[in-house]
Amino acid sequence: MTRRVTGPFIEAVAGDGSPHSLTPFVLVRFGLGRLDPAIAMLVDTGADTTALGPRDALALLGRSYLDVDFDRGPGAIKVRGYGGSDGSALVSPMELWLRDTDEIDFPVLLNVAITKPSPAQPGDHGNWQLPSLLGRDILSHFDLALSYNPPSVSLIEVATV
Amino acid sequence: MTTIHPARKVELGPSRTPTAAEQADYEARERNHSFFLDNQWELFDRHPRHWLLIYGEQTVEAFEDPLECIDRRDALDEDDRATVWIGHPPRSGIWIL
Repeated sequence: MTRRVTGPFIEAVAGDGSPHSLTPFVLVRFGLGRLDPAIAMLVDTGADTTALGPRDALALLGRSYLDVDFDRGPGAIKVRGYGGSDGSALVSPMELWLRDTDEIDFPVLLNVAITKPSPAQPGDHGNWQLPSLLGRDILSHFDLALSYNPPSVSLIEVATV
Repeated sequence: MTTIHPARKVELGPSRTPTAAEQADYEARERNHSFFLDNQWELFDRHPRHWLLIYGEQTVEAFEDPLECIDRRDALDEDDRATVWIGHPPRSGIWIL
């Protein structure tokens, strides 16, 4: 059986405020409870690791996100390239739920890099404007298909024989 | 053509069919997500620097302070929280990832 997860294209915004390019996203839920948030994560084949951006981490973790110590502890790592600069993150095992086109849910267990906010307080600058990323750690499990006309994003898990 | 599958690094858990309540919550949140996607330019023209809290039947509230947005979400009753979508696409700059 082939399992397929689809997602939307979202238009990013250029520096002058005009619509920029269509960018592929997949909707991910962090738990199946009534109050568990769903997050649109950018499909990024250039990212080694799946990462939660500050805005989504705040939405997921609430105010406790702002009290996290990202610079020490067993899960603390340095990351390069997120937002074009160096930064810190805390790696934490998480359960990401995807829904396939047959409306069946399945979890993906993996270590997610929760990125350190820069600046520390929420706003619309620094890495607060960056999306969360689905990196190659999860994408490598699937075949990835992008079509721009009509726009569609598909993660396809081909059954092993 | 040869397809090369790299080493698989993630673990998939067991699939399951959502319960009726989970399905209803998913569809409600999807409706608000679709509403956000369909109207994002109009919404951000009106609220260029705001976090948007979309809940219930496409009720939209805009917040300058993201923490106020989170607190407002957490204060919603359970039925409305099951439909919440927070919209906050980049409002300036090009993503360099």
